[in-house]
Amino acid sequence: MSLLTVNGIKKSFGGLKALNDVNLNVEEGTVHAVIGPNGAGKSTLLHTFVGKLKPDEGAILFNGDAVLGKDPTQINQLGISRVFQTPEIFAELSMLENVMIPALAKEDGTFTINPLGAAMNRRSIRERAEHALEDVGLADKMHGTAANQSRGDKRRLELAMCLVQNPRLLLLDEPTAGMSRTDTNNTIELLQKIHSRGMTKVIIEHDMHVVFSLSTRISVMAQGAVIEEGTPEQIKASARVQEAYLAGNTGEE
Amino acid sequence: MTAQLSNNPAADIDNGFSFLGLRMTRRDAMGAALFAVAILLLPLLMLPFNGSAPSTVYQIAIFGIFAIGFNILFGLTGYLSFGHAAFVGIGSYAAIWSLKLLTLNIIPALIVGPIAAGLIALPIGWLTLRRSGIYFSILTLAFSIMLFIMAFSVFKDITNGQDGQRTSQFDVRVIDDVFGWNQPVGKTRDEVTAANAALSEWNRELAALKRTNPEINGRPVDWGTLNDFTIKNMQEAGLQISTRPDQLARPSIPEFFGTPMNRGYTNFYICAVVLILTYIFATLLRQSSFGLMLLAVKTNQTRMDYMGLKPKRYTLAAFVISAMFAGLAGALFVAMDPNAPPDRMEWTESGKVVIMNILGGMGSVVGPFIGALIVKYFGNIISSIDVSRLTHTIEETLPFPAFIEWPIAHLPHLFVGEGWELGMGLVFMLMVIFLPGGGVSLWQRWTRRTKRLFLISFGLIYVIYVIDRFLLGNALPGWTMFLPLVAFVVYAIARPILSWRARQAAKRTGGEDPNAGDSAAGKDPAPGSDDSAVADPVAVLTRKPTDPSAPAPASA
Ligand SMILES: Nc1ncnc2c1ncn2[C@@H]1O[C@H](COP(=O)(O)OP(=O)(O)O)[C@@H](O)[C@H]1O
Ligand SMILES: [Mg+2]
Repeated sequence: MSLLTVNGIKKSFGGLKALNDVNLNVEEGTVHAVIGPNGAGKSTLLHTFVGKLKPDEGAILFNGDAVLGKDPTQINQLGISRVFQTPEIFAELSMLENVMIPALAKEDGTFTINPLGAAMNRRSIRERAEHALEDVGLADKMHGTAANQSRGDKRRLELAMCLVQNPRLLLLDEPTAGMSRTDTNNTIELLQKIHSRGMTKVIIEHDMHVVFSLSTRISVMAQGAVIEEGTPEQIKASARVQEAYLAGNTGEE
Repeated sequence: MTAQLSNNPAADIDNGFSFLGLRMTRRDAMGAALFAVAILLLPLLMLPFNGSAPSTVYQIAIFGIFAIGFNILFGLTGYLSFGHAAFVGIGSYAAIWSLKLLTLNIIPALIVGPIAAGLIALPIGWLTLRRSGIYFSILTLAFSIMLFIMAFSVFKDITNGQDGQRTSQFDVRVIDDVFGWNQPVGKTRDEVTAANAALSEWNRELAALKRTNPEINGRPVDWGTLNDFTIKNMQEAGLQISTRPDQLARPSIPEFFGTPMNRGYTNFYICAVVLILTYIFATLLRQSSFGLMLLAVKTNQTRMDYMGLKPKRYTLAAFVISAMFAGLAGALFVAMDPNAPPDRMEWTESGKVVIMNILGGMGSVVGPFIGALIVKYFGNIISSIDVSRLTHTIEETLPFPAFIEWPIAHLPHLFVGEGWELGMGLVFMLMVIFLPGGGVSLWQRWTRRTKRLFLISFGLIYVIYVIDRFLLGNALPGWTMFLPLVAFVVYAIARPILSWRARQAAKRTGGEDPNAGDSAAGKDPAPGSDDSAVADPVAVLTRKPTDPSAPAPASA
């Protein structure tokens, strides 16, 4: 079943056509990678999914619901969470508090805080936040202030903030950018672990090693359009992609 | 998980008290207890400072309530309102009308005040919170000035303009009449009823006469000066008016179930109890999920959008709650002194509460109260300095020619006496530049030794005061008491400078820093990190919510 359907999305900035008729189908339970050279429009595409940018044309359906016309808050409530390219976290708060906030948001189905009820559920909220931090390997740092953490840890924190809401669709924008090799491998392991829960994911990634280790389906973007789509094997074999983009850099050599 | 927690300095999150799902950690509970004791003893503690008159201490308490409530908006969400004095005014007017129309008992007044302020804050907050930062501040300022002007024009009947609204013995007071409270002393109920009936009969007669637009000697009757003499004149002129029946004098001083607010320290202790409850409320709120959301608003609203939260709900709630505390403060002012003047709504008053928050240290619960104490107390002291005498003394002592002496001698005019607000502004500016965290952050910066010295020198004030008063019979001049504190201030200023110079010297000679072990900068313990709650009681009060070493919010 198709969880996310993107139909003929167009978006231009001034004269620049950042997205030029993009079509995409993300099946439930898959890890769908979107790859492509810098400036291909990958981040812009993701922005339209979460309501950060409004496309000029086209339609986006999530689980049958129209996404366009909703604000970021409502889109998150449908079950879409996203990790940003530069981590968006609550810098002044502790790691635990950072994760408790989305947990609290999800706990109450209406995404409002019922003061008394929220106070009553505090222990279970906190336990869920602690579990999410454990999942991403930050359990020992949970009382530290978020601002003081390394870049990699901030990314992992943001991932925990998304995971604690248990979204149906998780969007990751270059989760390993700027990471060391070890950190990258840790992140791959982490994402593989999460995958076993069957959460659908869209990953934008530069690093082919990451892409081929994680994804079950790949879309290749160039100059604002999807030029090829298929399984990792098909993509690796595709002469067009080889030519246009991969150029011998399959990450598996 | 548990093992990990107990290794953490923040382990006490799991100790503490829980009621109705609201939690208080041990540290917070200790802080609240300490605060309560200090407040209840405030009149005694202020004795050496010549500031223990009931009206001084109750004003400090009321401003404390205002400032702590304001901090729920400013300190937690970071939204700086420049219009909260308007809500103090609204609380005042609502309370005075409760005293006039319902009962002189202060409890309904204290309930009506915050509710009125909250109801008016709701639409104002809804509008102003569409913007943030400086735009929000300007919008709130504009709204408060609008309300201030409306108090003089559209609502003049309610506010009585510049003179302010007061209670009087002729007020209707429905609840008082039903329950027979606050009636004329020494009369039976039937006598009171009869007298009231006679008075209203006479009032009807008067109203009937007014409708005829009578004239005396060709001039319309001046109804403004109606007393026994003018009534007699009217009767002699042949107008249909009988002699006014005797009025039974009813009290007009607000009271608390029989105790009037002008007796002893009753007024202060009522304010003190409300202040302590406000403190506890603010502590609980900060530890609650709602408080966490307010801190989230301050830190990153974008993130909240993308996790399904609507920041405005929380900012609006915080706005209304802080306005209700402002209204409560306004109601308390009126309950203590039954007069509601419009000056309370002026925008300078809004500025004062901002200054209190910044001086004391926003973000912590006790900081705003300390700011209120400093502004209120020093405001009183500095504004009461006799500048002319000071000028005279300077001119007498300085040996310079007049044209040099004059500007020097007149300089204090700008900053003390009537110019005290300029003096306060100067202190505020220096504070914001050199100590942006406020008084609370100063405490957190000190080493343990400095903290101890401060507490000792502060305690010495009381020791000297007691010795002087009870053993020497007030023989010492007033300023001697403050010598220990002055010595401490000199020490606190000189020490970092000296140790800095010593470090510079050591650097030049390439040697070891002689002061490395205990210099103020070198061995500054993170607040609360090595000071256990028992060893450092004030740290309990001054802990900030975002303090990394502080316990994370408790779970229930
Ligand atoms: N807000 C914006 N305003 C103008 N141009 C933009 C904006 N966002 C992205 N672009 C442009 O759109 C193109 C696609 O950008 P982006 O989606 O960030 O690419 P990437 O695939 O590297 O993530 C780039 O040429 C970029 O400069
Ligand atoms: Mg990008």
